[in-house]
Amino acid sequence: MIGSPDLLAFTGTEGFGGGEEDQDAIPEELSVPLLPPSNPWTSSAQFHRDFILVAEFSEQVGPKPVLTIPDDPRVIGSFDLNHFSVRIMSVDYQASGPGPVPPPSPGPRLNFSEDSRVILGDSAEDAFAYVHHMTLYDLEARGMVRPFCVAYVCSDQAKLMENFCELSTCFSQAADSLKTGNRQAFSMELQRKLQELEYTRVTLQQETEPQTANGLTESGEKAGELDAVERSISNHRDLLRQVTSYPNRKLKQPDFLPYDPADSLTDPIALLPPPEPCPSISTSTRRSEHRLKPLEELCNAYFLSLMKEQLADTERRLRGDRSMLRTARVTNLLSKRLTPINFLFELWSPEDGDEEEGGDAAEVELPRTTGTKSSVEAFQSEPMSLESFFSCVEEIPIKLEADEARTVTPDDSVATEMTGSVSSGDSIEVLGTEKSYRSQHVDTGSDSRAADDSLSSTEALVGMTDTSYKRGAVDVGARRVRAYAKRANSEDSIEVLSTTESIIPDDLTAIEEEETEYQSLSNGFGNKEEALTDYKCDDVLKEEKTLDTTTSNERPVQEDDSVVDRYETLKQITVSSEITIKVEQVSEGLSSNQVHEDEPEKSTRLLQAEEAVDSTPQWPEVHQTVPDLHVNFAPSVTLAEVEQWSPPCAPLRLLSIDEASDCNSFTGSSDPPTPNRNIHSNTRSDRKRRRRAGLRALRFLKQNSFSQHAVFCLLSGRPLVVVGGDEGLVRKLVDALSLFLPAPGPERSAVMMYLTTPLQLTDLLTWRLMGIHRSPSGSSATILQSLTRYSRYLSLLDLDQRTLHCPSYSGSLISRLADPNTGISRGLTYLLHLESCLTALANQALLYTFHPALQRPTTAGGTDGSEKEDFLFKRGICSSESDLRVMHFLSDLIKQRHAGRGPPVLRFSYSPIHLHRNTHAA
Amino acid sequence: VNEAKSPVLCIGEEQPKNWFTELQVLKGHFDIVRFLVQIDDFSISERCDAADDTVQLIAFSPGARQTGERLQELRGHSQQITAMTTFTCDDGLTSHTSLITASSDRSLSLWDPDTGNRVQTISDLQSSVKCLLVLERLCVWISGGEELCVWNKDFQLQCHKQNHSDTGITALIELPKNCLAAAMDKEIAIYRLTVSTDSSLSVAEIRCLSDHQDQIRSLINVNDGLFASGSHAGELILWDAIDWNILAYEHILWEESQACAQAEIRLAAPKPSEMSIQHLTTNGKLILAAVGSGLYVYSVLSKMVVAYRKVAHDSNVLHTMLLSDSELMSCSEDGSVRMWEIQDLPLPAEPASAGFFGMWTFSRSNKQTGAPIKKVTDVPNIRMLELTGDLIGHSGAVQMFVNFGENGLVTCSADHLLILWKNGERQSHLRSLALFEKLEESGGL
Repeated sequence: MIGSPDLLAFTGTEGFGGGEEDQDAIPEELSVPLLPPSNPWTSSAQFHRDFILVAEFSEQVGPKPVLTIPDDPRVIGSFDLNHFSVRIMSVDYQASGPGPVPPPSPGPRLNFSEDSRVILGDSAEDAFAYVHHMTLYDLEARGMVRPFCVAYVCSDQAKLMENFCELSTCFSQAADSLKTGNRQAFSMELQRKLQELEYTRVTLQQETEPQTANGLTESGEKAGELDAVERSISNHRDLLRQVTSYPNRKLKQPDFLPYDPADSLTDPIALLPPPEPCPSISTSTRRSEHRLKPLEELCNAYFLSLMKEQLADTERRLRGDRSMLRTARVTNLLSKRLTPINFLFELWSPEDGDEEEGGDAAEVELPRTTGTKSSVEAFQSEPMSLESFFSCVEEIPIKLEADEARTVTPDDSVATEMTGSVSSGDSIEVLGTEKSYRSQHVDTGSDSRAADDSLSSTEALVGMTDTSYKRGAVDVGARRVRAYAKRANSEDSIEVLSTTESIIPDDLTAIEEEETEYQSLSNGFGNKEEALTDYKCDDVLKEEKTLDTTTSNERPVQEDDSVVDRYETLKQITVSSEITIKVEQVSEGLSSNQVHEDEPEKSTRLLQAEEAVDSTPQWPEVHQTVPDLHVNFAPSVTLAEVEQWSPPCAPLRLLSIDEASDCNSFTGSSDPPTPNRNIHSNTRSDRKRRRRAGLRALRFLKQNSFSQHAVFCLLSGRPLVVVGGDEGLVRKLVDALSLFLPAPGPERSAVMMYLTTPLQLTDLLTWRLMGIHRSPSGSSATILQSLTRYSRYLSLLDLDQRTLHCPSYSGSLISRLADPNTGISRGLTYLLHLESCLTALANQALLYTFHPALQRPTTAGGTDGSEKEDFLFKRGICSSESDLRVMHFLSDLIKQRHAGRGPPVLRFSYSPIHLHRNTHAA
Repeated sequence: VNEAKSPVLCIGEEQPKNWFTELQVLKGHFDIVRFLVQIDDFSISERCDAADDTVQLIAFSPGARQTGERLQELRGHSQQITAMTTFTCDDGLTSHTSLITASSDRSLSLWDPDTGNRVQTISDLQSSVKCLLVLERLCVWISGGEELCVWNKDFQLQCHKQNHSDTGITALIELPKNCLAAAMDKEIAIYRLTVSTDSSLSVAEIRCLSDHQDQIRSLINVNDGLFASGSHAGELILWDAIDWNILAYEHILWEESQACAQAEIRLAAPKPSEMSIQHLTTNGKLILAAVGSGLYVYSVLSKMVVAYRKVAHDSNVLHTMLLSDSELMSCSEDGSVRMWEIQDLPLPAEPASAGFFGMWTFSRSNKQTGAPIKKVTDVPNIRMLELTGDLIGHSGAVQMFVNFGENGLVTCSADHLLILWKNGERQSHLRSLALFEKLEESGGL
């Protein structure tokens, strides 16, 4: 498997940092990352865009696709959905499954499985997927369960990793909707079944009573039948109780959608409408051919549509490539903080901000090594025993003390577990699995145990896990448990590289808190050191004993000396783990499970046999899973993270101590789910529009010699009118130029796409960019005439005559952002360039606005401008009168926004208007 | 021939002396806004003549914080407002300014501009009031129409005087010695108010001045000893305010048309409408007359026109103002407001020679269109009225404007709008201060 072409492709991509892990013998600095055949952007994926696939493991025909979002053949292309469904559903079957729980009471038990989340990939086809497995209930299905999965299929694995959290959040929501709807449908089905049974029982009783006198045998049969029916009734009642009581446990979760559990709890029968004469026989015969219910019958229609909506929304949010998403996130995050000026250029829409709140902290941390990297590396370098199949779960139960819980961000109480599997050589690799469960495990006892259908194949283990999760009285809000595991599966085509169990943080700490938290954390750690050491030792033993495959704990960590001193113990721990890690062995079975229940508040490691599992409590500063020990215990994680802001092409490894020699160590971090659930939603369509506008703006710059004058007009607040005979062209240009328009207002209210009435003065105060269609019928003549009256305040761009009437621009400011000779040829690239320029401009305007020289009252009509203008010239922001005009306008916008009252103002100047002709060839 | 009328007045876009670089549009009226009255330093109110019954009176505040917020809307009159004035009654302790309005619905109202309440109202007058005059000294006010009524501050009629004129009183000014001058058609009637011992008032007409040959359009006080009147036929008469004798008589366009006839082949004398004195304004030394679409500056001292521009606007000038001894402003039916400066002519020889050669070279003569050169030889002292700036914004006739000094200028127009013109740089600075102030107050944005 190692060295197979499939995997080499991974190593070359940017997200993986070091491809050197394959070559065990070669020192890191000498290793050359293997490049994919052509370039990282080529894809052999047969689908054309990311899509969401819902698949089911049908007990009749096996895995099959159920629906796709979007349901558009142009998106799916020639991609073989059936084949892929087989892949993703197979993973679930091998990776997870509810273990048998000793039933506390006789009768069937429902396993309220927690869903599992896996990232898997088929590198040969460039198909990667985030798969969310779940089970639905169906009375007639085998075992009463119907396995389903929802998969986000994508050709870029790193994208999945980067958007892991969003995917996880959104899919969880969608899955919750589906499951809620299913539970409702299931309980309805149960109730219907109960009715039928009751009906049968009544019939039987009636039949039995008169017959008692007649024959014993017959009555005996009947009685047996009656017994069976009654047993069945009680079984079904029990099932109903289980399914209806389920929501109670979930009610605490804010996003949980209860479907009115209380009603049917007491006595479902009592609440039913009077038994209809619905003969049970007919039902059973109807069901006899055992048609599997379609999804529509499995789930309440409302919740089904809700789920579809949620999935469609997710798909919409995640459109675009990684850099797009990342840039959008960063832009959004950063610009959101600049509340004084972010209205200037519509780089983000304010409505996003409201929902976001907590999410932003994590968003800052975008660029970092992806978990895939490590897992893939680990996978690749792992010596394998082909026959071995392991599953492993490592848990780190953490109980936070109340005060810690306060200072430590939600993330911190996160045990991380990584499971991975290596298989001999097939094309599907499971790169990450995330499983989440809620913190109610302990309280809910057996149910929650049963509920775990994680990758861990042992129920016992899960149970232990649960119990070990003693949460402190203070619920820390969100805990993320992450686990990485490795699995090796020789014969299958699926390799599970990592499994992550996680609880999605409900709220994330704001980044501002990092510092303090960091402080408190580091202080707190002193106390813990001992305990940690103990655990580590345990781990080490365990690992050695259980023949670990590699876990590489390497992480870009910068440890400064003081830190090293302070955390000597920690370091030692690290070292010991590393030693452990070096032991490359593969063991079978779940030899030992260790749960440190006695000290649940400390981070305990529960090592599962097979794998090198690295887990760590999540540190709040990190806001991402840093499953790696070194990182976690080395307090300078943040520094490391900062470093990672630079493009992670070079391996960002800072090996601690002796790790350098260890080629088998990998970063075990999976990418941290940044729950930035909102950022995309509202801006998505807007993004698309802006992207197109970016291209048109670029064309405008390149094709018109007067483009800078036009941009100057927009930036200095002089309304620009675009006139043309081609309505479409006018619209497009207006759209493109609106990128340059400062303070476009909500819904771009400062842009008038299509002016249909003669211009009035008040229009000039409302719109600063207008389009006019010069219709051949002459109906636009009056509109055009109306322009002449206000020609002093306007700039007129005539597309037909290729002229521009406006004051001339000279200076340096505009050429920075609207350089016609730019080498940029792609609209998107230009858009990003422009946005960064505009952001810089807005920031300069902010500086200028709050320059202290402006604070002094002047008696004359503001004639002391020299000082503040000096400020602009000295800083190189402005180099001409025209540049000053731009700054003045932007600055005035800021002032008006924050201190202005009354009607809007139109600021203008008496400058000569020139006629600019386009000297460029048409 | 047409050069004199050609658009000399296109100043272009470069107006370094025009400091109005920011505008705000004040909306609220639904019909022609004809009058603006300054209530105090910071607020004005203006009247809207509405075609329907929804007469409104809106007080804006262009001054306080420079916002142009709408403060009050005074509703009550059912027909158009014909006159309005402020009425400040000083009772020794406080002085409170209220607003008196007269309407075509034959009613008079007193408003409190702070609250917007109608404090007093008188209806069912015999005729509608066309002009109002406040005599603060006597704490009375006078309404003029078909009859002259004197009211005290409590809206009680003190005395009245019926008129014999058909047109009624169109303008009223106060003269020394408790006298009033009232313009009625072609005549000016002088009334005297007498305060008898029991403090009751009586009014009596003591003189009628009928020297104008056409309807009197404008009547103003020039200074303590002078008042002036202008007629539809372009007659400007300066009167002694004490003994009501004519001090000067200027038939503005008569001289001009004579000069024209002499200098060139004039086809026709100016039409009366072109000579009509629409508006007179003065600063005590100069009288600015809006004559047709032209502007004439008349010096009280030298009793002659010192500067003029025969075609200052494209149509009738409706309102003028002398900003200083050399700066003036005018607004017109053409929708523009123009600012002028009285400048000395270039060296007398130069225009003369240019004029001379202008006969030979068209290009030269075209260049010289800017100055009314031909007058130079006739009137050696005359100076130039140079356009220094214009304000474009209204789409209808600009009816009136009120100057608030450095706080700006408010114009009202037939397009239902008011525009507040301001110094952009100053406003920007004021906004800076407001921003910093807000920062200090709230500690952040």
